[in-house]
Amino acid sequence: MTQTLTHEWARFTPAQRMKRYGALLAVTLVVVWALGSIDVIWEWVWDAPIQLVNLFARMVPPDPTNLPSILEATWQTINIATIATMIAVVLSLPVAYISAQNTTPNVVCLWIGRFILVSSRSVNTIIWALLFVAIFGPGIIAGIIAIMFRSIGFLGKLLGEAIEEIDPAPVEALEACGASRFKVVLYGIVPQVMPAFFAISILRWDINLRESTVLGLVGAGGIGIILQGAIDTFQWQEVSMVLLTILALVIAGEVISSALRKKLL
Amino acid sequence: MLEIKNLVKRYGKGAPVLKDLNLSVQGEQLMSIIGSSGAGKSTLLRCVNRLVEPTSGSITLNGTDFTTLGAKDLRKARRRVGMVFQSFNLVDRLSVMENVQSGRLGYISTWAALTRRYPAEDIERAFELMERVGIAQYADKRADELSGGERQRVGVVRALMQRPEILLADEPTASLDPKTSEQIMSLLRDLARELNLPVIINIHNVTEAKEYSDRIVGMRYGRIIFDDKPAALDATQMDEIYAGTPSEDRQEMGAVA
Repeated sequence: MTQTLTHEWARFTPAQRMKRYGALLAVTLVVVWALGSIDVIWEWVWDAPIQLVNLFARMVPPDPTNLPSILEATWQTINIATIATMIAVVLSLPVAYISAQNTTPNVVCLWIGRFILVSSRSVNTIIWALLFVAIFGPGIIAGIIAIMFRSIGFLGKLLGEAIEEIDPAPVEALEACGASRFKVVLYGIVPQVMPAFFAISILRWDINLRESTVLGLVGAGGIGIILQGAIDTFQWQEVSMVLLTILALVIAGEVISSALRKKLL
Repeated sequence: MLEIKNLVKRYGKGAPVLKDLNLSVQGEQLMSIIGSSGAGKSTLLRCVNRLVEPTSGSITLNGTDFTTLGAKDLRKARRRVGMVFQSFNLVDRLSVMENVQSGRLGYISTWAALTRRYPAEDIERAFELMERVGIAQYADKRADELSGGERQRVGVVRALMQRPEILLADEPTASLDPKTSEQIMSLLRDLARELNLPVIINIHNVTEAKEYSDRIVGMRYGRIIFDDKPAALDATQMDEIYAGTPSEDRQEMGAVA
């Protein structure tokens, strides 16, 4: 029994199909070109599993002889993250206020605010740290200021977005009462962004805790300095001790921040 | 006395929402404004305290022309106009007392506002008013824990804390169930009498408007086409107030001109 076909259907027209094959070919060429141009030494790549096992063997067991100084550096790391977060939270408030569409005093302020946010966010913490180590010399101060600079952009942007998302109705009511701009912010906007403010600050503290563990690699204080020293002198058992400490620190930070979040929100 | 003369409001370049509107409200009367959505009721009310900026015309409250005031004088003048909103417009995360006291923000210092150290007589008055409307027991509750009717009572008390010379209510009962809605309407009527306060209410519920007001104003696309005692509002006039669309209205006006 034959059936005459009256309907023909295809997802793509022949022209569309050709275009899609063409795009696929172009992507393949780009990937091949990219792989060819990065100068991979393939012997080292194939060698990697052996090296991995080898390195692991040299790291076990972790060596706790330097534990007191590791813990001291960990404490320094926690301080860098916490102090920098606190300062950044305070400094980000005015930035958020002028970079939110609905609270900015004028267009000039809006652009200044956005410039601060973008420039802070576009530079990685490590690069900020390199700059501040050059300015303040190696140590904890450079670390704090580097973390702070990077955090202002993050906090300011998210807080500014929270300000933009508030319900404008209570603000209208307060303006109708004859309240000044500052009092409207105090009563109409601050209570509405409070939960977001705490959530964002805690999140940033959590991120900063992790970021400040690598600051020492460029001399900006914290546990990274010990890690760097141990790697440079091939003390692999100490390296593994430091890595375990960092792991414990990050897990502790995670636990503390989620507990704080539950308590505050 | 509130005197509105030749009020025009135009959003952008479109047709005016309020077209050369004249209205005078005096004494302790409860006046309801009725009319279909888009008739300009809400715009009219918001023009009075300049939450919406009028295009031209004058609005005078007991001798002060609101339309010519600068920013600082406008803030002072706004203290004299209480406003109640359809969606209550409370700050949900603040307590009932803080919401009520925010009606005094135009009077108290920034420091007092920040630290919540309100003047003793303001606290006294807040409790008096809250007891009067039956929400004194909620003073320390958060505003979003209250029911709709209770929240609107907070809104009314906040407006009265300003010691206003006039009270504007923009569809104060539209988000409430029928029973609560009647309670709020009779509360507004009673308060108007007790406090010697003229009250202007935008309202969709014509039955309630007729029952509670001393005067009804019917608006249709930016004009007042009815202004009389509630008893004078009959079916023909109702039809006229609620008939038509803005575009039909424009065509009619074109034919007349």
